[in-house]
Amino acid sequence: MTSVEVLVNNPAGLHARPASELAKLAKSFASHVIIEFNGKKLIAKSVLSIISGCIESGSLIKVSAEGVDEERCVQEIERFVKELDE
Amino acid sequence: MRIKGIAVSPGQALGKVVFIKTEEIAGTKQLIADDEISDQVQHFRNSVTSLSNQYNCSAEELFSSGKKEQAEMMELHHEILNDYTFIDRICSLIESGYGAVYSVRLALDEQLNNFAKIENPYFRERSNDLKDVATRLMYKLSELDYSEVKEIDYAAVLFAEELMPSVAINLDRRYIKGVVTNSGSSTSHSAILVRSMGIPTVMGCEDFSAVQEGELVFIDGQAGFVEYGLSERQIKDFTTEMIKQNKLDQLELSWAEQPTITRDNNKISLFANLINPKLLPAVIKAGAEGIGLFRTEMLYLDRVSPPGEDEQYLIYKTILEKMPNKPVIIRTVDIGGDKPCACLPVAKELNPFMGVRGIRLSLLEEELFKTQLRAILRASIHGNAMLMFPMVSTVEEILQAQELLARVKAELHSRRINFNQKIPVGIMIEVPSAAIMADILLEYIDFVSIGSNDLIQYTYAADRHNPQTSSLCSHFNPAALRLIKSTIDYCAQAGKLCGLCGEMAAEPEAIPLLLGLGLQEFSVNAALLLRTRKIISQIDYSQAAAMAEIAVKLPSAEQVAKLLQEFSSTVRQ
Repeated sequence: MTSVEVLVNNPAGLHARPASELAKLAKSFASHVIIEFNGKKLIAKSVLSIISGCIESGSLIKVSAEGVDEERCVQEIERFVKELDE
Repeated sequence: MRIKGIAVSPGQALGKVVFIKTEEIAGTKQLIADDEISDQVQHFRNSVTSLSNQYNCSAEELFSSGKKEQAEMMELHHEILNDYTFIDRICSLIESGYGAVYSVRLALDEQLNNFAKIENPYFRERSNDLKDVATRLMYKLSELDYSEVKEIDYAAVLFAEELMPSVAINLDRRYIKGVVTNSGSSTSHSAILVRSMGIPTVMGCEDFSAVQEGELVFIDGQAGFVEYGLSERQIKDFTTEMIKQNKLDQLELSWAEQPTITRDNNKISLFANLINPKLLPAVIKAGAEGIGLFRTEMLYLDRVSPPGEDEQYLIYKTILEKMPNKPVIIRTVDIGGDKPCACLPVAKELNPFMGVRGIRLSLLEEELFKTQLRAILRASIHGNAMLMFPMVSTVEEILQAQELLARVKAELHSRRINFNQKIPVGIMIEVPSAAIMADILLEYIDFVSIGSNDLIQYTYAADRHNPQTSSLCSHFNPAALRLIKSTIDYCAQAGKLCGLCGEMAAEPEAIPLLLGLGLQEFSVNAALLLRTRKIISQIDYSQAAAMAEIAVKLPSAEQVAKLLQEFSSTVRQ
């Protein structure tokens, strides 16, 4: 399993569009991906799960992937979250 | 008769009532036969695919016609529809023997329960999108047409229990003149959509069962009401009002690119107050010469943790970049016991207006304050940023704030982070003690902005929101006028900028008075900016100065008001 901690820094947080794009990105990998935040485990491939996590700006989340492409998956998601700007 | 609600999207209109009824499709709880299960699963999967394609098509169409916001919403709905946790749950419900429609309903209710527990309204509101997607899916499964508002080709005001985003997206603004709903809030997707389309909208109305289908109603999306059961007389009055408003809007727009000068050629700075960065386009459109007050407290409301340094930095930077070469006065957070704020340690106080608010709270919560100062300083290289502290009442508060500012500057310096070393620092003059001592306070700061709303109510010890004391808070009360005058005079003597950012700055009859007292900078709400510019251009400064000299010697607000009315009527002639 590969994990990384990343700070959600865009003003809106992982909300509507960012959540929807994150789920889409996670689905492009074979690995199983979860996001840990505030004591909850969220399913990164489910937009509903991400939104219900209520990840506001300024939140520190932990992204973990398990599977054949786990390293690349975690890297890509980390980059995606860091580059969010809306 | 009038129904009040939440003002969601501004504008006035007359139109005929059309009710949109979304049929409640609940499905039946009755279990299906075992041999039907695979058919139902297949039927469900086909419906998802078909609806999915519909979402994709409309997203593409919307993107190519430049409607980015709407297209992104369709993409979100597509993603929700294809959420595998949702689909799997529905399939397993069907496999346990429920019909497809009923299974969708059960899965939806489970999710809605989850969403209802979310505290942050922006996240909670997304349940509206989920409901929209699931409802469409249930319609598709039942082979019914989803209610869309297409056939209307006359001026109509829509009434609905709730406006689904996918219905809002298809509204034709040529005919749909207004929207009235029972539920909904100004942060929902539907609200954002109607605002972007410019359709006057009032949400959260309690009961409109007395309204008749087809009758003519008047909607005011700015004031947040709808008037029904109209008499001939009312229809005439509303029509005249709308025509007048329209003409005013047109006339005022011609002032957007003019400079702000009095009739005898004195240049005045006309700035805008900014509450929410989203309103910046309106500020720019109105031709604001700067931001006289950016209230940062909006960044702290409706959330459980305070905004971080980077988040704030990005917001300040965006505003500064969109106001190139123009002053932007960023006021540090002014929150106290009167505004509930989950992310700040604000104690409940018996008398919040006299309690820990503004700079008092910032000095108690040093880390919060330093985070904000760091963000403002870092952003300061992207434009003409000025820093302002609210609710200052003593020299000591300025010295303490300046010391913290110096510490933050030193820290940024040692980290080799760029910032404007000479960022101007100012204070609000809104507590009488600060106005009285302004000559001394000015030795420690670069500029002031008079917060007339609070200054007046503190001077008269009268709550302006209490109907029984609000008359004491007139803008023309001579005691407050004297404080305003002495503040302006002290600033002139010290050669420092003096602005005013309260409601008084845009009050037509107060403008000549403020000009006459020598005010250099007016900061008003964007919606009133052009009107203010026009009024200033009609006034002769030397005449206003002579009038102001008399005004401050009058004994009562009533007599000041009378003098100002006379002055304004001579200007208009």
